[in-house]
Amino acid sequence: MALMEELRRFKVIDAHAHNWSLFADTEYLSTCLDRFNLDGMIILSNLTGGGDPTPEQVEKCNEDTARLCDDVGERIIPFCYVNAVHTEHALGQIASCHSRGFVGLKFWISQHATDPRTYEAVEAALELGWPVLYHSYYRTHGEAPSSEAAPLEIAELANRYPDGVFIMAHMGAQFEHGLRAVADCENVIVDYAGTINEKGAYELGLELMGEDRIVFGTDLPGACFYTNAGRVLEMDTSDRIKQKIFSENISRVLGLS
Amino acid sequence: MSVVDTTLLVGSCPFRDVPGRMDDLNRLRERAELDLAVATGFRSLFYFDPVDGLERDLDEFAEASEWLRFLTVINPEFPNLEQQMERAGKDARICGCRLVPGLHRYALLSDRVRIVCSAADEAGLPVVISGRIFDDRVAPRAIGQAPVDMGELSELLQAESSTTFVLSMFFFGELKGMGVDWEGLPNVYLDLGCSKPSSASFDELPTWFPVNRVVFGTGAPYYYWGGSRLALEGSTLTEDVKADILGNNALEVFSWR
Repeated sequence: MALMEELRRFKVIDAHAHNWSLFADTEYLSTCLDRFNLDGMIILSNLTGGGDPTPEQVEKCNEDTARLCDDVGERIIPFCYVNAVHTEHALGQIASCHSRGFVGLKFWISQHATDPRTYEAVEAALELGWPVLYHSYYRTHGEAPSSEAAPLEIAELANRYPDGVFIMAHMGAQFEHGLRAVADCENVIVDYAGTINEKGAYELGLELMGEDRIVFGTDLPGACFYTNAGRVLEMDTSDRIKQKIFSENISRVLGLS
Repeated sequence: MSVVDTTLLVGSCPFRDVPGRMDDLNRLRERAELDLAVATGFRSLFYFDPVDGLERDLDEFAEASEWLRFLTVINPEFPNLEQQMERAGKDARICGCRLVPGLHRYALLSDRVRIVCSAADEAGLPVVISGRIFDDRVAPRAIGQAPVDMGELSELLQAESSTTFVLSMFFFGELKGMGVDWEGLPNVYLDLGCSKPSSASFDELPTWFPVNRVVFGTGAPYYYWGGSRLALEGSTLTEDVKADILGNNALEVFSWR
């Protein structure tokens, strides 16, 4: 059976996307939602301002996300983006975004996961019942951004807040080590969003984390939706588990019907 | 419709358990509905003597000789280059040679590389040039993989116009960024199965490259083949073009002796 036909059997929510680059064009983004038959897409901001955005840039990011929700509708699932280095501003953004219907918190590379300023923002998010998605990478080559969180930091953060739910993005990039770093943290789930296409990540994720702690994300538009979806389809596992990955697990985390 | 995967990475990988043994490949062939495939063995890539590595690969996968051909991995700086190419030309199990300058660390503009090109012409074999084997950010720490000098590559492609080249495992962004008039280089094919597409890469392909010179190698089983395949299936290319990319074009490049 062609993979496209297989894909159509599943309800899919993209738990990791950005409204930048090609998706700065709302019409194109809407077209993609239809074309990919997505039931929902978590928008993790357009990351205006790079790795260490100013408060004004963060505010612009969240404004753009809110506008996207208004323009496209309920299939957009908005996460609030903050730079916790500007702690008071971050707390203000969390409150403001909550009042506008945002449902989660996103950290990129502005500060480490073990930074006390991160804790303040996380505590505010957890009080609202939000999950916290954190970009996390083990880079074996090249210089990592100075405040990029490695997977062991995510484990430490999750252990500090055992009642919170944390999503470690990209499985930590080098997945064998990323997954092992958080495997024992029951409150951490993972996505394999992005362009790294190495086989074995989802399989090891199932082995170490179980079927309830993996969500499907793409890192659209910088990555290809189909490249990401095909990895899940390729797995030698049941449709029931694939459906959990494609949408049920993130629906459970977000309390979606 | 023929399905030809032009980049399988097979055999025992020194860094990770990859399902790349004979039984694994039979399962992969069935699941991916492969008619034919072109393989490169990890032994050839990593042994001190890539020829010896190839011999072992040919032995290990002898029972697949009906559908599986190999590329001989050449490091032009090593001795016996001419003999290696002559052998490749005479052995029906070998359908081309692969250069991996980033991994084996040599310049593309050298007399030795020109000898490879001449010998390949004489033997009627294509020269596959690899941009990389691993994702640059998360390659095993023991691997030092240098970026290919795209200026040198461009110069080589134009200087050796009688050689058939296949550019493999380069990223879409790198290839588009070369600023080459691809129409004027009818000797150059692109292998785009493992090329880090964005959400629009395959849709846009006809705007910058002649699609009748695109072949498709997924890097399986080291990489997820399903993601790459679905990216092609889901693109807006016509069904005829998809079929050509998936197999027909490869049959023109790699002679199936």
